[in-house]
Amino acid sequence: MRPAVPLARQAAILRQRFPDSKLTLKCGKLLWEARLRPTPLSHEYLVRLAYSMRFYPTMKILDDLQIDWAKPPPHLYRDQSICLHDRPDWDSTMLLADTIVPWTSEWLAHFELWSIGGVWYGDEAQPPPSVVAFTQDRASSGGRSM
Amino acid sequence: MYTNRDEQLTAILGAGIDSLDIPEDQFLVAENAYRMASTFLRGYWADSDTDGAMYPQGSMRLGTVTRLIHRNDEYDLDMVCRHDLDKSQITQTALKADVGEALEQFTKAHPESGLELDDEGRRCWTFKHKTLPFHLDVLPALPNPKTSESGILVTDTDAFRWHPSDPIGYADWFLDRQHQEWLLGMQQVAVRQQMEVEALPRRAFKTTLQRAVQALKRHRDIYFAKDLKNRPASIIITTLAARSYEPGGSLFEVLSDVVQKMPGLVEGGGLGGYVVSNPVVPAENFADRWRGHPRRARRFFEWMEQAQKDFAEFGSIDGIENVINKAASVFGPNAGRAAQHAFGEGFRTMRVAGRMVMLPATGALVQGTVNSVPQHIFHGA
Repeated sequence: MRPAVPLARQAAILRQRFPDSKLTLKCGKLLWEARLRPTPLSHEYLVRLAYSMRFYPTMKILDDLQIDWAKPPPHLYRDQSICLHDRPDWDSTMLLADTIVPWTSEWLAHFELWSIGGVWYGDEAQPPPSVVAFTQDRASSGGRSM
Repeated sequence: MYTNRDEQLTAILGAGIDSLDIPEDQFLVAENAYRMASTFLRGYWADSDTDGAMYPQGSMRLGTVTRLIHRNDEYDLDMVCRHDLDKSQITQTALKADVGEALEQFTKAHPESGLELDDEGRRCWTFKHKTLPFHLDVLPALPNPKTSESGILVTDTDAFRWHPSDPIGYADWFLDRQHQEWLLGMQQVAVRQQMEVEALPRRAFKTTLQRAVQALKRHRDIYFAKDLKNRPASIIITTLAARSYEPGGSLFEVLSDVVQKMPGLVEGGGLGGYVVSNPVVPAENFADRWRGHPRRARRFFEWMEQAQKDFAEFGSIDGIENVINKAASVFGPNAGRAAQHAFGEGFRTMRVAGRMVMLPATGALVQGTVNSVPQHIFHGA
């Protein structure tokens, strides 16, 4: 059975990959803040990762995502922390920098797509959009000029 | 899918532009229909000891077919119907009637083509397909014995003088402009599909020039949505784009480059009027239609300025949602949705296929295979 990755090593890898990030390691708890740009065309987001080896890591988006909580995006809690994995997907033998961090970028990229029209591409295949006739679109958008 | 900003932009814009093209199944139906018509006409006219042909011209021949947003996203496919007579033997009016009659006989003899006569224009006959959303605009023509084998004489707007034209020659010029990129692209397609290049149809690979022309035609249609009669002719856009085009760039680079150069390639502008000459029939000036309509020339340059602004903006936008919303505003909502869907599906399958990696420092997810992002399910909430 592989041993759990020590906190110090988790911290070292995060620092190495993200030299501009802030990291504290105190009393058995790792706190990491960094700016992620999920794809080259994406916005930049400030995120915070908290991890002590007793619990699953938590990742929170610190920027206000301006969520309408009546119609929130999938996998986001009220405190803007994200649910990134199912139980079997992650354990303490894995590097945070190889899992939680890229999964966070992935969620953020899907969030940007979702914010266009509420379609979530992150979980399963979505049906292709139906071709809406221009005349219908023009009627529903109040005849705005494009 | 992409490894940097330019490639990601190309992927998104490309998916939007691809949605403007005629789907393969409809293309095949149209191709089959005109080939059937051509065969029929040769037999029909053989009775009078004459020959002829029907073949595509314009966007179908160039590979730049673009849905018409002001006609419910349908397609207009242009055809030439050549009857091999001498111009001394027939007037323009009589030729038009002759071609119309022959095509009517064709649709009756071959109902399986799905075509029926829809409209009679001043110069063309228009056929629509019974179930598919395309029209064939058929232009009657005679051969032009004074020029190359592909040269034709078509009706002029005054229905008196025969007007020399060469749509096959024009298409050959256009396709030659992009030959280098096309051949490289076809070789890559051939490898992927494990076929010989010769066994693939020409349209198996679309070049940046073809897609740029489609993008510009759609951008034009939206810009001129409330002023359709002043919109610049597709042949002007196509000619200037092809003249501006240089191979070797990404779709986004070519689009940006071409819109910068196009206005400068319009010649004239003084008392003699503007000139956009036909590269294969230099005496023909595509900008002749601006004479007597000075507003059209002005609107053309205004449109070019807007296109330059719009494509430059793509280069500086942040946020996938903003890129796609911008694509929807310049290419139409359907194209925006197509771009969104293509990117969303592609992004997820990139990770599922083990081809997604994270770059250090930014955390950006790009295509790669070394230390790829592991599988997981988003969960909860």
